[in-house]
Amino acid sequence: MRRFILKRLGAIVINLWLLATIVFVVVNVLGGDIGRKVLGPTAKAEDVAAYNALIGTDKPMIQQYFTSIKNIFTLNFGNSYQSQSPVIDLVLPALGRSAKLAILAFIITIPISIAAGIFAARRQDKLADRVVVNVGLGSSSIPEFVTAAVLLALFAVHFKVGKVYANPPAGTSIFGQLEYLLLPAMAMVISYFGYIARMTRAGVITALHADYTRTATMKGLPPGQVMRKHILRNALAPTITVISVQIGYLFGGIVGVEKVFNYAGLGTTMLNAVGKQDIPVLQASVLIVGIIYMASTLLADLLIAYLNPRVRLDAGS
Amino acid sequence: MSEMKPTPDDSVEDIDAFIEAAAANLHDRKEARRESWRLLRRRPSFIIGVVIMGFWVVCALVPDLIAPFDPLDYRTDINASPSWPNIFGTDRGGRDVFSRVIAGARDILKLAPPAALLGVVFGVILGLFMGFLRGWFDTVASRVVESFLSLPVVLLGLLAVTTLGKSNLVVMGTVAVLFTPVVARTVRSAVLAEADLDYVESAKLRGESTPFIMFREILPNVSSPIIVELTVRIGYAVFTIATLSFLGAGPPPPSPDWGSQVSDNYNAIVSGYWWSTFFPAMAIASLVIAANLIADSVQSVLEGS
Amino acid sequence: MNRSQLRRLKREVGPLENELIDAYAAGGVSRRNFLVRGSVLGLSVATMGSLISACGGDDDTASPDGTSAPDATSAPDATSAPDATDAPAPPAGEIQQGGTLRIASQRPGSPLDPVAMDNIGSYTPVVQSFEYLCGKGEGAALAPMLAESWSPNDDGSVWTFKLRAGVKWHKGGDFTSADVVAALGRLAGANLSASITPDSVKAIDDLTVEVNLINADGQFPYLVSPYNPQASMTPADYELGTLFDQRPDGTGAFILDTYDIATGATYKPNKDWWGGVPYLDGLEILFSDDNATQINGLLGDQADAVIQFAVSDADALFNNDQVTVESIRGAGHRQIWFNVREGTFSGENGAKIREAVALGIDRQALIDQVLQGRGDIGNDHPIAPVYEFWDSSQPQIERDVERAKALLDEAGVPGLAITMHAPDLQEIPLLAEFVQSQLKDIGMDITLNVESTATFYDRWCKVYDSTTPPAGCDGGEEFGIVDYGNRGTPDRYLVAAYATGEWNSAHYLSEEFNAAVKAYQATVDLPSRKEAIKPVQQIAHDDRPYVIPYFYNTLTAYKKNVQGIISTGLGHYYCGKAGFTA
Repeated sequence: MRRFILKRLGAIVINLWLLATIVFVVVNVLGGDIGRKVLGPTAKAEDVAAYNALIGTDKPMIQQYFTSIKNIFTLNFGNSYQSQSPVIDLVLPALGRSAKLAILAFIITIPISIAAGIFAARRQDKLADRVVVNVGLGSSSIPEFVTAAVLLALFAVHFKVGKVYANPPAGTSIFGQLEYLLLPAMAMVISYFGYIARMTRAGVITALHADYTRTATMKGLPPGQVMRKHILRNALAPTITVISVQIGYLFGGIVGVEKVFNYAGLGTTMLNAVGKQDIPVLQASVLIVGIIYMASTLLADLLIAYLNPRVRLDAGS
Repeated sequence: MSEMKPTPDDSVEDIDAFIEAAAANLHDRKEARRESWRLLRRRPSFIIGVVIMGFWVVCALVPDLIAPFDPLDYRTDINASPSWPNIFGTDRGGRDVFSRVIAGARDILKLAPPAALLGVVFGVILGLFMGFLRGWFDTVASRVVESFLSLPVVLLGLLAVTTLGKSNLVVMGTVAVLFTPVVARTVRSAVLAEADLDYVESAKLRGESTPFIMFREILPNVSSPIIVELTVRIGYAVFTIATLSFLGAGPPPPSPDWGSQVSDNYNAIVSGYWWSTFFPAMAIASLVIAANLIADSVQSVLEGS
Repeated sequence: MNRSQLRRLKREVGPLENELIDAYAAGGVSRRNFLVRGSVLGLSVATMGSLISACGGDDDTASPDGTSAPDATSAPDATSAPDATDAPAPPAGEIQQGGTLRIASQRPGSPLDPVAMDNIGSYTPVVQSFEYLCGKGEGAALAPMLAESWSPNDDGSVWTFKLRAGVKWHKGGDFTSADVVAALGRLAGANLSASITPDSVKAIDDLTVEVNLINADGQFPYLVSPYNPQASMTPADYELGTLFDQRPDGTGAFILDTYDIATGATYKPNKDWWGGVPYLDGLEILFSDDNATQINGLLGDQADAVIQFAVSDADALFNNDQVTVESIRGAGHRQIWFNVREGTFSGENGAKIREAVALGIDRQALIDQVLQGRGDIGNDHPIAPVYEFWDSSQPQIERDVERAKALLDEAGVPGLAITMHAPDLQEIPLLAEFVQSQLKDIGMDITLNVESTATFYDRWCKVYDSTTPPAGCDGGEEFGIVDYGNRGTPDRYLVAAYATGEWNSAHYLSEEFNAAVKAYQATVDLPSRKEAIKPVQQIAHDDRPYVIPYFYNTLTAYKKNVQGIISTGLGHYYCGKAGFTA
């Protein structure tokens, strides 16, 4: 177990280095003049040169690369090209906001969709099953930015339930914040419900037909116990994997929802950084999303192993 | 590279048996394919998916036959609610939403399936090499694949479009590259399961080249997960490209691209003009649903769940 | 007419003012134009009131120092500027003390450098704290702000500003002439380089500053007013490149409290403000990247005001009885630029193509469909009909598809295919689409490249090049649409976009035009200004480095219970006297 975790942690470090390299290469392939981008078209050439010298973008590419990699391992992401303030001051609050939204979305989604998945599986091919399957398919097929726009127009503007600007003002209480986050979270819930419910359903159906379930039922165990001890433990493995992958996605990929609700999460931060080619901000955000993704998949593997001790952790990836 | 050497205790007479088995294997595969197709045609969800997809393909091929008006130049009152002859209403530019939705099928269909296909091709090649060669190549490639998997796809797409410029080729290429690692991982594990089987050993004994074994022997045997992956990826590609369009990386106006239509018109929902967003959004959803229905059916049939 | 009073008043002012007074007394200038011109020349409201009554020209609809509600209306043809007032205070007694005003605004597109900032999103947070020598009066008139009064010498080449006494910086210390000299010195190397040099500003005493212009300019006060957003007064020890959010200060009604580019800015009221204690307990600016969020924020009760928005997204506001929409007729416009120095649009053939474009677009249709009627027709020069000296006798160009096609043929490029660049800002994408579709009628095949404002401005002007004439903007694309905000005078447009300067994306250079602009700037009275603007309009129209299809009305909206906001149409919202009723 310990060896497994250490091995995975080692892999994570290498992956992060690769990630940082990929971002650096992509951004610099056709990067252009950062100073010009930041100072704008009307700035004088000497000011632009001075700015590039200030932020270090006049140095040779290889030196910039080593600086940026070194900065990652010292957790010093440097200053934003755009605002000149430390990257960490920009990215950490965004991370906090993304985390709040993601946690809220998952608190709502996970129980509902797992319950729906089990419910449907136990009524396989009956009407209830068809309804869950098709609602799930539909809800996860509508792009989340559309769901978000509709929720915003309908609730925040028309019924005045929830908020248009989803950023809670500083000092808002937890319950106050819920009002701000509810609609964007709902947009995400609608998108993810389908994936998770369908994955749970498939897992449960497989487990229901498995030998160990038949054995347990024949041994005369009560159905509730069979469900908890045998079916769920086995059936939830793919669901947990799906959820762990979605967590990484939730932090960086829901730009559409963040844009519609003007939410200043990691997605928006990255979107703005892309537009301005703010490499330090981009690099820090992508790395953070990467860390979250890798950590959540690691946790998922551990959780699956805990639920089902027969899974061998070191049996390849 | 030690895995590639034939094991020393293989005797000569076994080779004939292997070859026979391989021939039988080929025959079985043809049978299985025919059987899968028969099963597929009996699944209503597959039929529905194909009908929806077919409708959009027809729209993409001959939009002029279906769209009553010119999707770009015809103009009438702006933001008119659905009524005859503008059955889906008009948008903020006074154009017929129905005609634009029909014409928009071409924008997505000329990008999403090729992007998915390209991603699958890259992924298959990479996955085959990883699973078959193993060793240091697999180790390094696996790390890179893992790193790519943790990248936020949409953001990377935007980054590529900002740095490389807005063009169909860039969008298609980016989506393909971003899909490659996922496909590679799937194919790699399928190949790992095949690589130790008898027919591979027999091919090695016959002295076939590595590319021959990978592409002519192993590839046909891992076709099921690849086909499933392709159908799944088409749905994802539609989704990803529509999202990119929504975020401003879509084709230039006045293109009737669905994602761009949503992006251009969703501001008007609060003014009560829901139709110019609703119909293109439903078009995206229907195409994703169709792709998912097909993917689900193909998966059930090929993987027998 | 009270001649003795008139004589007495005339003795107190200089020759420029006297010419204006004579013109008004003789009936050559309308009362409204008299108030606008008088405010620019630094005549106080009280003086102008006395002059008007001395001339017997006062009518009972308004006295100059009277109060009037902002010209709030959603009627498309509404024109603002009913009458000049000093700080236009809303009816007293109605506004209540307290409350936080939440303003939905565009996210800043560049760092908050008061001198280098170049977009409306950046102006808004800065100008809540930093003020100008001259402020905005009613309509196009100026009003005292940090300068209590100002006056020109005989020919308008030297201007003397008397500063307000007792103005305090937020961070402590008095606002004095030393601050003005330093701030104008910084601007001399940047935004005001065409008007002043670092040596041309002198402090006469602590509260008097004398500005010697490079060329006489009867409109100079506009350049140190909100109509030139970069010319705010910053502390003496500010430097070029100092960012407002990193070193907040100012003299204005609101003190920056918190600033976060991701969400917005909050302000505390400045109890020591020279204009009095603000009604509001606080000010909050909410940033977002598109108009829709801002409008939705207002409709969803999360904002009290939307600072500026495009008509194309705003039907929900026009149809809402809880919201006041202010439609300010102005000089803000959209400019279609052509690179006339090299490439497709240069030379004799280029001129033909430019004319074909001008003839190919249907301006009235653009106003009707893109602006829903809220704008004035453009005639390919930046002199808007709203300016009192606008030459209305110039014939308006009309659409002529056949002639346009013939011109393209003559130029040897029938069916010209070209890319047009445009920012994703307000109604511009829609305008671009309509232009594209109208020009299809003359056979042009335009590909649109609409980009976010984060990347677009590189297409317009990429670098500042001072080596190839004309000095200024360079490295952009040859064809596109760009936004120009409302200004109290066209001088910034004429100098920065046409003559020399940083916005000349056409690379247009005409000695004849520059001479005409110089002559116009040197005029001081309205009749001669009216005469001098004629060649400016005509040369710009004939040479056509830019096509200007329309001047849009600036739209701003706030809740019915908000009163007293002063809006310039350039992203400023002055809220020192604003507050909530009931």
